[in-house]
Amino acid sequence: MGDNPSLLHASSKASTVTSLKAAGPPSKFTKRRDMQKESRAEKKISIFISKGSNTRKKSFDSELLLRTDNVVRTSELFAVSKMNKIAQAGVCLCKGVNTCVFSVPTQLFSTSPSLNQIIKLSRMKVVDNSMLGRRAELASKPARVIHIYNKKGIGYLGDKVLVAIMGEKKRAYIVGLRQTQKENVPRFDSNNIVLVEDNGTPTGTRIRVPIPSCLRNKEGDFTKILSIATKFV
Amino acid sequence: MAAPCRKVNYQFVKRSLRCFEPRVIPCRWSNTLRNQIVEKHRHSPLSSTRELVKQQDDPSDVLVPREFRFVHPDFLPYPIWNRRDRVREKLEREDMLKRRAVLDIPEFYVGSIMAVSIADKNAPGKQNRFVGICIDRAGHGLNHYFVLRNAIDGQGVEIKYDMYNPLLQKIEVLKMEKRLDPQLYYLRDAPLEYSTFRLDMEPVPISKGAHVPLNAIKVKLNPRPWSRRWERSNLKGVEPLDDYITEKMKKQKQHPQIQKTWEMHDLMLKARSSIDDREVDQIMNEVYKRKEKIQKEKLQKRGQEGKREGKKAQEVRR
Repeated sequence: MGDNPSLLHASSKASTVTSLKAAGPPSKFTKRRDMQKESRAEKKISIFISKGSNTRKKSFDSELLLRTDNVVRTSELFAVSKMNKIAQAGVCLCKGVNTCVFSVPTQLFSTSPSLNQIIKLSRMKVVDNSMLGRRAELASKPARVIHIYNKKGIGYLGDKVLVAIMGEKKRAYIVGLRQTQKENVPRFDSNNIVLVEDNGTPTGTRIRVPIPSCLRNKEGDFTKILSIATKFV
Repeated sequence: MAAPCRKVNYQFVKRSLRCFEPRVIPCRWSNTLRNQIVEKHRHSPLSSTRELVKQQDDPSDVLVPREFRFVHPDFLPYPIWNRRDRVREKLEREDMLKRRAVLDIPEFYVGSIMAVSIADKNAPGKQNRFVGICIDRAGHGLNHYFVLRNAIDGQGVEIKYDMYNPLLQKIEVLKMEKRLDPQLYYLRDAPLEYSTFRLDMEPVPISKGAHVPLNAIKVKLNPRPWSRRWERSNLKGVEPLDDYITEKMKKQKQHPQIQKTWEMHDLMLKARSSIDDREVDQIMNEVYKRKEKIQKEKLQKRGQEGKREGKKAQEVRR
């Protein structure tokens, strides 16, 4: 009893907690398609908290309660708990132990908000009159972003991207987004790109759709794209 | 095997458990004034502006038409009663009225076709004009915005405009009408014919004092997938979506926890979900009076300009 008081106490707590189910509606950060998964699966996390120690955040099965070296900072737990809407918490107030055990049932799924961004493998619509773009449209094989030429990894209006289209790699510029934009910046119904050669000249000779006016002050390769644009919005 | 024993800090544990306490109405931020304090100073016998306050609180001197609050939804107070800052609202109202003295913001509704010109340094004439149907109108005070939608060259485009943005140079209402829904985001999932409006559209005249015409059109949506689950929203301006409503959904709708029939008798809920009519009346009264003043000044200015032009013409003739 005296050897591993934390262990024993935790396991007794564990047994009481398994019977509880996570209550309440799904967290506001979960994706819609995960709602079905949530109702089926629930997993118990046991997180160790240690006062004032340098920690890494981790989640464990009940068997791993044995380890006392992996601990979580108190603030992190509260962030996690708020995100996942913890239903119940149990506290271990073992005498003579320097760790507290919080045993909480949670829904262990990715809880990032639905972002609607251009990332790798996003499908884009080619909006100029290039042969490659036309072929891709007819074959219903949209261009897919495979690299974004900025330090963020998220494509915004006017960004240069590398795109895989009909088995070829091609550079392109983003000229329209489906994402909600800032005020005065137009939002389009499709994610539009204009294909560009390696030297910067656009592949097509005309752009069929309107281009946002905020791209007009861009320099470099963009001036060539603006010269083939027909309408500005 | 066990780690060296140390006493557990019970204070630390108590503090850490606070996140599991029942939620209490949050206290105010330090940079806002509580309404009780403001009212106390307004009505104090030592205040020098007591007459003004009496005038403001008693709105019976001017009869404001009932439609005024629907024509000017940007002046409506912030709907969340415990997060409302009346001083901020008052300051914003001052700024809004000053802006309205310079720019003519017409009456419009969701469903009206409008043309907006904004200052654009990149455009050739330094102005950028966009025509579209208003699909949404929301926001309180200076944050009031509206969204215009149009389909240009087969591409649907939407632009959000902040009404009190100084970059806005002109707002024209080409066709004033209302629709059956408060927002028209379903036009994204409808054929583009419903969102197409000519950029050189001529304004459709409407006589002053006439009722706002209602366009009771029923839009036919594209086959699914849609951007939102329109079968769940109670859309009136859309052709009936009975095909997409399953037996399960119908059953769920009838569940008492979803119907919540007790809510129509809940007076506190009603009180908390809206701002008191008396307060709205006070605000609208103030705005109405100021607006009348602004209009008078505008007419005077125009009169003066006309006189000046007449004088110039006379000089030229001489």
